[in-house]
Amino acid sequence: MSTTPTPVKAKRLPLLFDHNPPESEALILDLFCNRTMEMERGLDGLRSPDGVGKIQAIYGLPRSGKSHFARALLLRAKQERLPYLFVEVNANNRGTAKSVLEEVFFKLWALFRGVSPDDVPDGQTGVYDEYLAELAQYEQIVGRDSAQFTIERTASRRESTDGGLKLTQPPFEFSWTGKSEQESGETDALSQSSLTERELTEILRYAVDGLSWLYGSEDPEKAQQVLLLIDDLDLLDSKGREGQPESDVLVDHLRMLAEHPSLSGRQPCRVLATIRNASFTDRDKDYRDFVGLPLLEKENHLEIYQRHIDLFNAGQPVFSAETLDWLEDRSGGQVGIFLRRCHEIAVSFYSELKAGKPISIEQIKSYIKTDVRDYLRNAEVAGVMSEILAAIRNGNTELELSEAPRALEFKVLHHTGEARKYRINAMYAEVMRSMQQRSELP
Amino acid sequence: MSWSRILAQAELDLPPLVRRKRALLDRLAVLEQSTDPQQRKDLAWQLSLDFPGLGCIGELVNLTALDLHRIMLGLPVDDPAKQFVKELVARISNKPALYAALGQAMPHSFPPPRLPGPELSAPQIDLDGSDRTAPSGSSPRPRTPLSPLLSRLVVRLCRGELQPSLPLADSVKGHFAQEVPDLRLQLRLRDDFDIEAIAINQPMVSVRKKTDQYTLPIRDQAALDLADGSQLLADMFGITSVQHDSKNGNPYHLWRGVFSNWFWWKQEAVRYWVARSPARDFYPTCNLNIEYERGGSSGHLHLTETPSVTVVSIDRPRENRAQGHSAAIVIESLHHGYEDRHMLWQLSVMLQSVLSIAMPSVFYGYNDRAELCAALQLSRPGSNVYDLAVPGASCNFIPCLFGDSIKDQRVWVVPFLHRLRSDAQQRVSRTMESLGFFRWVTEEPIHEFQIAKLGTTIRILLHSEGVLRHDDYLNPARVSQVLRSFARTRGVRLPAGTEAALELSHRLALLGSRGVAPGRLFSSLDLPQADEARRVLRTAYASLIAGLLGYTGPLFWKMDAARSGSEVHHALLHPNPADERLDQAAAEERFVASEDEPTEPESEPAAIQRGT
Repeated sequence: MSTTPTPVKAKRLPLLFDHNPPESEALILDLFCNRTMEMERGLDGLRSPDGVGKIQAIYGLPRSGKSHFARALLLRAKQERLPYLFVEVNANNRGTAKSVLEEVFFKLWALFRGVSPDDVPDGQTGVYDEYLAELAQYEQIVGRDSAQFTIERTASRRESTDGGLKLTQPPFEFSWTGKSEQESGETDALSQSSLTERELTEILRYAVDGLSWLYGSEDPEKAQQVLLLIDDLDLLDSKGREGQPESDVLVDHLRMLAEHPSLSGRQPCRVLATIRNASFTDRDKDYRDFVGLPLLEKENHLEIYQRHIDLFNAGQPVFSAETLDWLEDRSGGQVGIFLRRCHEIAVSFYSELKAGKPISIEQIKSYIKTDVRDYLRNAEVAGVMSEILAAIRNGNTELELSEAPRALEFKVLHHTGEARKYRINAMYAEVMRSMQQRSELP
Repeated sequence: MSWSRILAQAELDLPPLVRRKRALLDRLAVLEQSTDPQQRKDLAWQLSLDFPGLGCIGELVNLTALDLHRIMLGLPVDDPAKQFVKELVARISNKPALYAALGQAMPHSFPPPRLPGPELSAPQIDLDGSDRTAPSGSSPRPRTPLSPLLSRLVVRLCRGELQPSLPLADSVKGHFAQEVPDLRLQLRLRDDFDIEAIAINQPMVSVRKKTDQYTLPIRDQAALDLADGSQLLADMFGITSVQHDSKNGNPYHLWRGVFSNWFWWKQEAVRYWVARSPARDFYPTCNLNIEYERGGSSGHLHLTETPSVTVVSIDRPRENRAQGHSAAIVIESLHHGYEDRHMLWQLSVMLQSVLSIAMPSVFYGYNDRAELCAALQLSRPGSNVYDLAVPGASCNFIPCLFGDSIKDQRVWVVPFLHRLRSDAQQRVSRTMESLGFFRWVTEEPIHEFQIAKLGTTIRILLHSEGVLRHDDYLNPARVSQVLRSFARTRGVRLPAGTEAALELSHRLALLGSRGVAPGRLFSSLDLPQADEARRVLRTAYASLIAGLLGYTGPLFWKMDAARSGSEVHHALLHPNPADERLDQAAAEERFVASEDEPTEPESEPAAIQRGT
């Protein structure tokens, strides 16, 4: 997609083979390769004023580069000056739908508050101030789960302000509840100490409405729409398990956010999300098929490797060609796994890395041997290691564990999705078997 | 077996196998030829290291044909890749020695002793096993019996013995925003199929009161544990009224609430979902006879494969005939519980759109013993469903008059529904969004509305191809261009006048009845003009579906001048011969359900082999 970056002379080894998407905008584009058609499809999608009421899904298998793709897409959209106000939130491990919605509120609030007075339409400062005042009130209760307040739905819609300008009625009116009122039960409505997701979403819709009013210029050149990217929407669960109920709650509320914020016909928020294939399959009625990302091919992995080498290792190869093939064959086609393996091995040979000496397969095997010995000495995983050794002795590459694999997961073991059933990483299995044959291991 | 788990694993494991399929096949061949036990063990070990995704093939080998079929449908790979996986599964399944060798390295994926292998093709109808024929006077084709469980359900429906009702016990515990222990609620099913809860001197659940004492929040989820061990889950709950009073000096506190979008279940696996709905007659579309002690009845419909769909026509008492007939829908459960909801919705949309059977409000789930074990609210009671074809005819798209069944004894609605159902099961359906819109068209009798919305339905269908975009919707020239291009590339013959009818629909959508003749101050749509436009658009829509999904059979153009049958429209210019054979075979299938002695609960594979 992007042009091949020019190799840099200085090494930046901490970034070498980082399997998480890069943070810096330059790196996001420099490390992005292939996916040309998917990027074109994504940009076409953003150029089209479409997508009310549904979440637009960027979906693919785990570790297939969805987050990186989404960030690259937004950067390209910014470069093209597509008419959006960009808001990005990472839902991974956040635990609850509410925490994500709260972060969206604070980002929208920052966008609204940060408007320069010159950008407020002429003669409409009063409307802006009214939105600002309402949102500032909500800021006092969003994310603060201790203060007692009473919230009541606003009874009717206001058609216009004094100046004849359309202004949406705020969804709620709230007031602080004093302790004596609570104790004596004098309040008309029930007091509460936190907002529900539904209430929060209505507040978000109000904020979106305000931004749409502010940026909804009749001049198409100036009009802008809020574009919200939720990364890892289905990995909201605090343990990273996909498809948990909180993710469903978030999906329900994001769909509401993607609808028109008010009856005044202002632009809704456009919601983009990265999700795994399995979640997309389960709820395809909630999602629009925005872009699907297949697994990358071998040559793409090798190109990504080369970009890391050019950008972070002064163009010096880390692995010999044969070693690279060997590693790629064991990545399962997932770019995240491939980079993770490269990273683990590269940092274990830090002196070779600094000296610019390519790492061979034999060296990797020697590193694995050391790693295996370390694990055997580690009391926390020694039990699991002995189960692995027993499986390998029997010629098995998969096993059912009686306890959690802890640090061995992702490195020595891969979960198959079925409870307690794991596969042994091929690199480790080969090395451990040869150690057993030489009686170096039980 | 978790279907979604295996699908997720298959998505991850299979692409690398497909990517290196040549090497994999060579290595398997070497393993097969090896006779030395130690060498076989070593080869299997190395194979499992180099191709770890083979473990997933082991899991597929041990699936039932039904589950394998589901996985294959859901797998996001192209057809050649699916074919390769099927061949691989067949190869390992048919060679016990190869299976056993792989099991040495991957004992959990290839567990000994080997489970029965699946049938690799889609479930076939066992014509040889049927010695029944239809009653005299009907089709002489052999009829395939339905599975015992399905037969029992449909016979009971015909006899009027299956009148689902919801036995709701009082609750013992509630989960709203938080858990409410010892919450005693009296529950009852209301006429609108919401469930009402009455709480007397019970704690108030944490939803907020409003000044008009009606519910505030929507989408507040709630769950109840009931005294009989069943559970009630609801996507929406709201308090409708609160009263405080005192009786004989004792404080008396009463509140009422309503559960909507609910799911009640006894924590047992559902095998079939049953619902009743008003419908028109659909005699000519029958392919299922139901036989029981008092005789038999025809005029029922059955679709094989997964999930099977059966529509039973139930006579209403003579005095209620004016209200039309009632249909019972029986749909096979895919996920055995609440996860079926989306599938039930899709199939109900299809049946309403194609056969004018109104979407049911509630589906009742039956277990292996044909006992009620679950219920699920699908929709609010809807309005009437109107035919877009000939009044009284049951099917909007397919020839469906009495004369049709005499001229051509094929039931063409079956392959049409087969194709729609397969499309709905895809990751991204090409037709469901427009079909959902078409469903609304059938609920509104006003001609202008129907014609305007039919135009939108066609636009949505064209949109599914990605060529027409939302910003093109208001550009008639662009819509016509995309329509022509679609018809050309897919070899679809559109009915004459399609573009003019689409333009009319466009003007009606923008201008209302003035759109009939926008140059005049007043204009309105006359009946013949409305009928013609509606017929053209309906047939054009069906033709586009045929082009998208490869349906090769006839479509319903209009009634024959002699009123003895339909005039048909063949949409595809060059139909694929393989598709033609498939459609024809499906249209010729015949089934019979009969009263049998009660049998033991049947296993799923047995049901598959019997064609359900």
